Amino acid sequence: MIRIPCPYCGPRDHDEFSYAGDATKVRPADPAAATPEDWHRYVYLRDNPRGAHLEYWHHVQGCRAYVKVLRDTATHEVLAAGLPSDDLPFEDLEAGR
Amino acid sequence: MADATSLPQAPLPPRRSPLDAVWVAGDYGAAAVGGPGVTMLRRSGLSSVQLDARRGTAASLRAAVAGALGLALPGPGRAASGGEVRALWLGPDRWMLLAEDTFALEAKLRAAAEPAGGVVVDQSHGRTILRLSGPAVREVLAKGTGVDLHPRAFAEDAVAQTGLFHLAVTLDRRRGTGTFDVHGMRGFAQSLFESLCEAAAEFGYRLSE
Ligand SMILES: [Zn+2]
Repeated sequence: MIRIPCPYCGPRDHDEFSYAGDATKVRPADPAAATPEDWHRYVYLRDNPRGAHLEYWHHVQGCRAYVKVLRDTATHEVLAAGLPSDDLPFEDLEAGR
Repeated sequence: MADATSLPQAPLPPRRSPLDAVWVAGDYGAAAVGGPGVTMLRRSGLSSVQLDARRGTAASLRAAVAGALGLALPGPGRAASGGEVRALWLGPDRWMLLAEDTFALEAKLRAAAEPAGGVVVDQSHGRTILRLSGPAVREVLAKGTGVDLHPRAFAEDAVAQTGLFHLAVTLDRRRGTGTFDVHGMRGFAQSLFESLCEAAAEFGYRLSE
């Protein structure tokens, strides 16, 4: 069981949440100027990293907010969690690997 | 086309608990020394009205509700009572307000909140509220949720939306020894009731009229 510290509700079981995808993907800033390849990358292409992974979870059975979670995909350890607008120390971990 | 709200409407029937068909007052489960571990009670005749703040209107909405109802809308994970109304925090800028049906909460809230940017939705028909009290309540609820219900973590006026036996509920920790209001979805009321009875059987439980 993963426990996710929701920034609003505190620690909750992960089965109160639904997984909402990779949080490193950034929507093309100018949709009109984006190429089909840009959209393909944004919509479909995902890494499958072993280790730290930045992701969105939806606290669907709790406060219904989206939260950002830094999770180790190998150990399931939750390294950090915050609001979608928060900067979590993902780049630091990437750099240190 | 005529404005539908101006046309004569059939009177709404009185609300009935979906548990009326299965609720037989009495003592069940283990015979516990000193009385049942859990007492359950249907809270009927209550209006549940959801209030959301549109983007950027939370401050003006709080002021409008405080002025009209004498109630300070609570922050994350908390409930607050003011006058005849109780408010539960449900999520960011979202609350459930409760009052006796006779208080006409929806109309009062609509008049106060909508000009201030609030969105008001009456949820009364969609919810079933059970009040649980007694020495074993925390143990019974802990069988169905991962939320820490110890008074240190979940004191009076604490509120949690969570899964209870995999059903979506709102838990409201009331004043008084081990007293919790459990708000569930009407359509899952019997399932919630059966799960609670099964969990409470080892402690003995009482269904109050
Ligand atoms: Zn939450």
